[in-house]
Amino acid sequence: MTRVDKLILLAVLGLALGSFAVAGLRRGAEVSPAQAQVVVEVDGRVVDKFPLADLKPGERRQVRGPLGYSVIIGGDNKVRMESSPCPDKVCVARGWISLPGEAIVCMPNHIVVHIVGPASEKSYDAVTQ
Amino acid sequence: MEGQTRRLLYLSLLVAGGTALHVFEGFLPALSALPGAKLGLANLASLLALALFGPVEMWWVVILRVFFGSLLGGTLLTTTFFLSLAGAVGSTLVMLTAARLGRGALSLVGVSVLGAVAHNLSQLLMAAFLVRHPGIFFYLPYLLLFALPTGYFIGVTASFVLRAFPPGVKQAQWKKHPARGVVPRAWNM
Repeated sequence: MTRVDKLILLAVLGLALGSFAVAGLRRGAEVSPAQAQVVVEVDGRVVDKFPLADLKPGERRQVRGPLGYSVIIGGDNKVRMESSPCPDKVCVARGWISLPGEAIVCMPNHIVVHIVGPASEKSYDAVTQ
Repeated sequence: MEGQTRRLLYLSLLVAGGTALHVFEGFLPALSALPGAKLGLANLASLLALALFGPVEMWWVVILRVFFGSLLGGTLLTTTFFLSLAGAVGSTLVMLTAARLGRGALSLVGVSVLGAVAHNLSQLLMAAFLVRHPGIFFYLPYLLLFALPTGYFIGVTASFVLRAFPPGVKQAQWKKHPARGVVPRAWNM
């Protein structure tokens, strides 16, 4: 291993820690979780959108993806993927999300569940299609 | 003529070995809940192709390996395949650039770590494109951190494997293409 190799190792470590810091800051900067909305997307299309507070603890909603039905379940102002027909269950392992900006992504079933704040809706300058 | 046959033989072995590692890694249980976090065993074949032969041969080994590996693993043309392909192409581009720019100063370990990082980045980009949502970048910090030990491990392993190659193979290659491939320094790491 050469000196440049070691520098690269350090740089990657720095990059990783830096991105942790950025992720933490972004989360802290987001707004009032009380008015958060849950957005459910399949293949990039919004199929469901409701206030997080409306999803009572234990309440389930089914989302239909190409592999079948994934089930999300509500908690105390939070939501998680309870079950999914995907092979890897990465989405289930993601656990609870509750803050605007957080997302559960199920790649195999093409489902994204994410949370937006009331303000972040208007924070786009423009949308191109 | 003999050199051509030998070159073909070694390249075929690298494609076969890479394919086997690709399939084998698909059988391993997920290391963690991190999507795309894996050892990158198949990158061993790519690194050896780069060190022994050069950029063109590396592309052949990488592309053929992803194709055959996905075919045997039953993931051809599925989401998994496109994620593999994105990771392989992205990491190969970065590894080749690093090997060229860092010739003489960089060993296979550095190349491998950069390749691991590039692999995870391009896979995340592809994933974000496939689900059309940037929420997947939540995993970026974890994947960057994960690329460090795996890239290091694969790079060190490749250096050791390289040392076991008969000296004739390496020297013949280096006489023929002194400007290609990575760093003679990788031999005596």
